[in-house]
Amino acid sequence: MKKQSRKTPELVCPAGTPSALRVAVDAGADVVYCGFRDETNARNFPGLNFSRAEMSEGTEYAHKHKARVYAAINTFPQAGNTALWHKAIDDAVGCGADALIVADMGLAAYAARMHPETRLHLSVQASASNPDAIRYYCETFNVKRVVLPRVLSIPEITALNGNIPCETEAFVFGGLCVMAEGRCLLSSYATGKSPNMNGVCSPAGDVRYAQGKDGSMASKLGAFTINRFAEGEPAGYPTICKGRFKCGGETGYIFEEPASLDALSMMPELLQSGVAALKIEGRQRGKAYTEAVVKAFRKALSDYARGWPLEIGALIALAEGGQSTAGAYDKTWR
Amino acid sequence: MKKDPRRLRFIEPFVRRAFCAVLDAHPEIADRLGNYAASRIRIDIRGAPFCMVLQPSKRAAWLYRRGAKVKSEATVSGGFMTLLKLASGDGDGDALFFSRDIGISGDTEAVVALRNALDDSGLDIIHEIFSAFGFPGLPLRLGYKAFRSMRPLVAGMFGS
Amino acid sequence: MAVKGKKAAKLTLGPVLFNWAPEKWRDFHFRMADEAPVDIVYIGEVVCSKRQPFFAGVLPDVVERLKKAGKSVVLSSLAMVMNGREAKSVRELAANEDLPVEVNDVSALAALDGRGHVIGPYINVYNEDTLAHLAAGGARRLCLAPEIPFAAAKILAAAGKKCKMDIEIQVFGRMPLALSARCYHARLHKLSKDSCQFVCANDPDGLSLKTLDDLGFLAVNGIMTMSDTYLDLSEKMPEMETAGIRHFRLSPQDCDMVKVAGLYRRAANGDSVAGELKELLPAVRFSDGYYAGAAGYKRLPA
Repeated sequence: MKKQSRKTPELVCPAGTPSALRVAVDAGADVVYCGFRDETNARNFPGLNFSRAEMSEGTEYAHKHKARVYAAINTFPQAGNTALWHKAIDDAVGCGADALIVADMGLAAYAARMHPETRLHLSVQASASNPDAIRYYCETFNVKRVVLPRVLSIPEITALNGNIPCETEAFVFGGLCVMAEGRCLLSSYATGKSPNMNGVCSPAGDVRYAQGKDGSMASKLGAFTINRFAEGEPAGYPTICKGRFKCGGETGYIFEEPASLDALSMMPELLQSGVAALKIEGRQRGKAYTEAVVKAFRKALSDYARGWPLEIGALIALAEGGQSTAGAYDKTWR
Repeated sequence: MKKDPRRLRFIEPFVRRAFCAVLDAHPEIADRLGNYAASRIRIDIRGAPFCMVLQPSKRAAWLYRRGAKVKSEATVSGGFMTLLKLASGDGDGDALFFSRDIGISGDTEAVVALRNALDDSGLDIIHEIFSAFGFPGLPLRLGYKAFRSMRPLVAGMFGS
Repeated sequence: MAVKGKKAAKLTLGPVLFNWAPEKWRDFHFRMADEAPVDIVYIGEVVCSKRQPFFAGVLPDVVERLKKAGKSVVLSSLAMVMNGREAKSVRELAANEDLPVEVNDVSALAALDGRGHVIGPYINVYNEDTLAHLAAGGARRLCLAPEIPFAAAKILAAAGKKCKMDIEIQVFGRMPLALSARCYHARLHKLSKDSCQFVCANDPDGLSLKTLDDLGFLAVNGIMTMSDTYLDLSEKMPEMETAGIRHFRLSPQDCDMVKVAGLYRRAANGDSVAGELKELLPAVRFSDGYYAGAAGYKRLPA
């Protein structure tokens, strides 16, 4: 299989709503990814996502502006109800999506069989973190691109890219899963709902914020206190992996601090590692976020192409907990 | 009808009219809200002498004196300009939550649904309000811009 | 005694997920071989490749002893494969012709190339399409992830029947909930993952993690995060058997697993053993919420 080589990688941007899609396209996205308004996609949040009509209109808008749309159908179909996921695949193709992002093997097989002409991308939720696994997906389902799990360092990505028959897409900004994506049941352990089954992590319906008289705020997920923030202290999502706990005599962030991934400073190394696309997380964020982050990375790509210095740290106001991290790209993170 | 001392009946009709105008101009908000449209969401403007309770499904808006005990499924609190930014899609809800500029309590799901519905709607809240009271000709963002320029004054009134 | 026309339930012993000293690991398996009423034993390192070399030396003896005792032995593969060394170890494991392999990462599937194998709980199989795909690739048994409710397991068991794939379900022990590139044991001890000093060996049952208000929640086990509660589906085993699920996994904890296996053997025959289990492990909180599609930590009323 021949590898597609690109001078500048694709900038793949999130859209939770049609407005965000238009904002992303206008701000310089090469690609916008989005999903339908149900549990077929991994951002199944209230008030978010696309109807079939909105997906069609969004695709039309993107195509008119020389951008593409990838449809994320990246949860794991429920036993006995796979038809809902099959329909999502069929409808996404019908809406003009340029690629399908899937995580489930059965669904990948369906897409490959029914829509062989549509590009198939492997979602980060499939957690394919090594060449053997990635080759399996390429050879079995004709996967053209793998979204890399946020567990790999840049040298590991470089080694990987030399060893696989498909493109890779790497996250550069936004929410950071500390656990291997698609292999984390922490949310369902506390709430019964998980990213794999329901497309939600720490679902809003199970989250309660308790405002203390002293200005503090506690976040609770079901029966469990996930964190307590002092007055004015920057807060994070109520996800378990970014919570404060007691363990082994320590009290604090046992897994990870509330922080967003910001790999802008490591973009040159990432580009040299051979990734075909840079991905921004955040379909659940507002369009103000989409616009700011897409613009910043579009500018960074053009600055880099011209050999100009990159503007680093400009997006800190949007980061979870007011902090950013390079995550696993920086080997010391582990 | 017995007078409810907690209510601010004098201003309430104006708020309700503006709220209905917004819902009429943006039917997609109710569509995105789905079942959450029935939730009563209390908007607590920090420093203001009143709070607002909105229930989209009933096209209802109530105004209460600050500190009054009122029934609602969820509360969003924040400075006036912050809430305005949020409603107009000029601020990212998550970022404003991270920085503690807005606070949430009660049914988080209802708040998230409302935030997402508003963010998609492209609402220009000042424009909508001016329209509701007979100034539809105002250019789309002019109202808000004028409002922003009054920010120091507003901040002085309600706290930023 | 097996009912006529009905295949007897099989008890399996899952791979030891904690970092036990090699002698302890060996003696544990010797004792299970000699005394425990289990039919199938999984061995091999699933959690951390750095632990592998420690028991490599005693592994052949353990395999031999288990086989002699009439147990079927399955080699479990590593769940997270991130570098060339780990990929190579998975390929070597898959290349062995003597013992079947439990696949815990997709990389092992590629290496098995269609030979018969078991799919472990770290491979996402949530529906009949994926099950059929894997069965066509040589999978003969599938151990479900703990979050899959009985309603779905039933459908998978029915689908499995059509393609000769057995369903296995964990019924005892802490549930594996998450894997990470990061080692939380090392992080807690302010060590890097590469020079971790194997501090996870201090916690042979995992290290308990509590909320800020002291509610037991999770357990840290190197790069793996597990449940604080122990899963107990002893009361559900007859119902699962009715649905055609016949393989029940006991995940080893640092307790009298021979006794545990004895209790679950009786549970498979319809005895109620929850009370005795509680007596045997008085400090442990048991849960079964996932079975009914509820939060995993919950213990639902019988």
